[in-house]
Amino acid sequence: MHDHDPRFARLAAEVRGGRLSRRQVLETGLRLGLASPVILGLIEAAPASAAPSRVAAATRPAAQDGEGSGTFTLLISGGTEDIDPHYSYATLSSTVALAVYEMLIRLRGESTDDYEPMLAESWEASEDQTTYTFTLAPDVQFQDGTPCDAEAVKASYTRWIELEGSPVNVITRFVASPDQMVVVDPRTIRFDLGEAQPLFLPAMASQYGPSVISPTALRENATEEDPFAHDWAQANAVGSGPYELVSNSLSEGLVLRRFEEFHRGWEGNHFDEVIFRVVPENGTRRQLLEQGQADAAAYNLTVDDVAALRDNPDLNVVEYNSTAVTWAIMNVPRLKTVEARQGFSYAFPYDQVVDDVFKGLLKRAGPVAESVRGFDPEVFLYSTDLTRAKELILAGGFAEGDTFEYMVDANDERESTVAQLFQANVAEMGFNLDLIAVDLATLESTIFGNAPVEERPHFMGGWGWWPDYNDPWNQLWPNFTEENIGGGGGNGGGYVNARFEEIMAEAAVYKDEARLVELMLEAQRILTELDPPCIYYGQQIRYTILGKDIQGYVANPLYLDGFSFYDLSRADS
Amino acid sequence: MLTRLVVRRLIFLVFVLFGLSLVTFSLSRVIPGDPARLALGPRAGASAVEKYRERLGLNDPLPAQYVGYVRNLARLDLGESTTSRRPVREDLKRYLPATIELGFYAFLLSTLIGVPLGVVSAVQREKWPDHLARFVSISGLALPVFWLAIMAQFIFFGKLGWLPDGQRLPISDDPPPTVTTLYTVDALLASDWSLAGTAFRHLLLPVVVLAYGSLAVITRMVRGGMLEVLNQDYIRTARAKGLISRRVILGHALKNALLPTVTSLGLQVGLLLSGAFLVEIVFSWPGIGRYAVEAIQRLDYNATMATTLLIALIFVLMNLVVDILYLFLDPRISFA
Repeated sequence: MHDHDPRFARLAAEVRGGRLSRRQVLETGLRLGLASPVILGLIEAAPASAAPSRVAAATRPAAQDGEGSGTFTLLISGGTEDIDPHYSYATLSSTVALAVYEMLIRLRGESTDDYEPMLAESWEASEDQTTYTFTLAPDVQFQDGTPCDAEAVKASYTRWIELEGSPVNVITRFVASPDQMVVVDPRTIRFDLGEAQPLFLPAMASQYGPSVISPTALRENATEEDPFAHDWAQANAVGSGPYELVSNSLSEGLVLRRFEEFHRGWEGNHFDEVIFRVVPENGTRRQLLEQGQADAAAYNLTVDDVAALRDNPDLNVVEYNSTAVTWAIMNVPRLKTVEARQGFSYAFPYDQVVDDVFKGLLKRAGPVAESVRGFDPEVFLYSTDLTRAKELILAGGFAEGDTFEYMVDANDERESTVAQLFQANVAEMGFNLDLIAVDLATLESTIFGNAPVEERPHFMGGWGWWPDYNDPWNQLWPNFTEENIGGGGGNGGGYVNARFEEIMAEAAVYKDEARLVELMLEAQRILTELDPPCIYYGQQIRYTILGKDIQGYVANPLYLDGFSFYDLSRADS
Repeated sequence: MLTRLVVRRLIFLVFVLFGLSLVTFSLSRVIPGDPARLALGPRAGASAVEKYRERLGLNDPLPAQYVGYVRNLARLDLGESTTSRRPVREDLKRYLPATIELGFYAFLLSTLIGVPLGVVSAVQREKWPDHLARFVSISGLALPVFWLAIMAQFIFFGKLGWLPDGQRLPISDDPPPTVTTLYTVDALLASDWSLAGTAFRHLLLPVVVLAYGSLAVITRMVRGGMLEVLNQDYIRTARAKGLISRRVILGHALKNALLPTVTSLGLQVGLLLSGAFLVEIVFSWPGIGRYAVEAIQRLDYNATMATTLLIALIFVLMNLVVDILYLFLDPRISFA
């Protein structure tokens, strides 16, 4: 029976070719739902250890023409429990998705508003931007051997909508119903959006959600209780991307091997295998990089480690402006007046935080990062001025000696230092700031919870956001609108500004880019100078540390910690 | 008498586990925070979080949640982990063998070195072997295990490159066919010498670090016991009768000096398990300690409770074994 299954045929071919180890055969067989005797038969035929050892791969000589680059080892601090791209919002999950799956399009290189083909070889928007038509590349196959055509794209995106997972808003803002997706022919799919949607392409290139999963694999693993096969997809993956998932362990990591039938082919120099290796300890990750036993780590070392590794001649520290902005939420009801919030904004130790705490891995910014459309290059930025701060706080209804509370994640060393520096400034002005050190769960439940805002601390530090795609509305709406106070919304400080609400309502369905920019400039002025809901420290400078011999890496501000693994290779030594 | 002791302890164990489950359940629910929100992340929409809460049963009243938990526990259903999104029972099966292997070798090492070191230290009192043993034992007690782990890794992996940084095996290597779940033993049983060597190399640093604290305790216990026994009349009598020194020490003194050490060995299991929490993090060891730490950090109720109950179970059973050993070591002792 299995002989007719293309996935079984592929697995058997891999085993015959000696390219899978016994463990990999076992895991792949279980993933494919093969019967135990069949798996045992394949294990018998498999070599004990087919894959090259990690250390050997990491130190192997550079590839010759036509040969692969061996193994690329990426260090991660923890495994990912859910790699279902239609359900998970985890950055690591989307990094895995970018290797295993394909979207229709993706952002080109460093650009945040220029696209390049993935599954779609071309695309076209109607003049009024109400319909978008994508033409798929020919003869694309999923890793289970089934065709990846327009029907498959529609089926996959229907699941994305109906599963109602975390990133569902990325599509439902534009496509609320599967009926809006029309299969024109096997290579053409059209999205009828009903109204002008200039942001549809940015959403389709988001790192959250638009991956196309094999409908066959989903169907075969669906159950009555789990019709979307989420339980299966959270640990397994069948896409059309350049690498297929060989093993996935929460505590040890993931192994991906190149998908031979990948539609762009394997000409040139590419890695044969990609390993995500779990190393929980910061110091160990640093040592592995220094020893050349790993090829990369992305945004998971301490700032001191990064500073030290910048000088290491064997490593390449790539730093880039991200779309992530960091801030401390101010409790609007408890801080009573705009003056008080402006005063505390002047009391924040910006230079110390940027230079001494983040050691340059932060750049001053307002609520919108400079790589996001609508960013105001002249956004109002507060500077530390304790005299002015004190005047404003006193004018804002507080008296000298008053005590305020600042909640911070106790496990975040950096944010704890930020809180202490702020505490010192507040004390210098004659007020008191009590630090409430909690774990992340408590901080999150305070911000997202249903407790009245008046019962929350005056400040909730170490918070921030980045948009799902290049859209300032997507950045501001979840954090500062009235609709998002309580009930799981991100407006933890209970901020309400009538004019800002009007701007958000208009920007949600904008049609004209110039008008959007105009609205966003006004929004940023309200959120900073006029009526600040937060103290903005700045936008994060993300970093990726690579071995000097790794080539082809390009950082994109919207694909946080992402890699285009297919484009990477090991340089000639 | 032995059967009565075992039965009594097993009944006692049920009460211990019940009490522990109640305490752990209450404590975990007192901690503010939403496990569903934490599992799905800050960017997840409110409806997705709500659906996940419903799936986990977190919207039920607390008494109903506890009754449901105990009912499932009786069927050995430990619930679903929000850390791994798998049944906790499956996770325990996956992670426990790694900790058992680590703990087993650490226990073996600390006992095999600690007991002779304690004996030598007592016999050679105030001479250089005694000073050396005391240095080892005091430093083992004084140095925090996480510091020791980081330093050992820094020196032997980072600087000298003699040993791997951690993991049971390199991620690309196959584990041996499962017989005992201990990679070293299974590799030897499969006659895969190369794999056994690799597994031993990966074990060496974490085992030595984990064993060091226990070794210190055992050395001190044995030394103290031996010093006390060596001053007893029957030892002097034995020497006066002309018995050779080795026979006096090993045949007469050590057996009696070991009694308090046996108690300590039972407690060492607890020490090793708590040490494993930190050692497994530093050495990327995929064991139950690391799983528990991640579960606690993520407010994973079911995984936290399961690991707590499991550790309690191991601890109580080990102490039962110690009590049984007592009966054999000292016939005067009765638990009646």
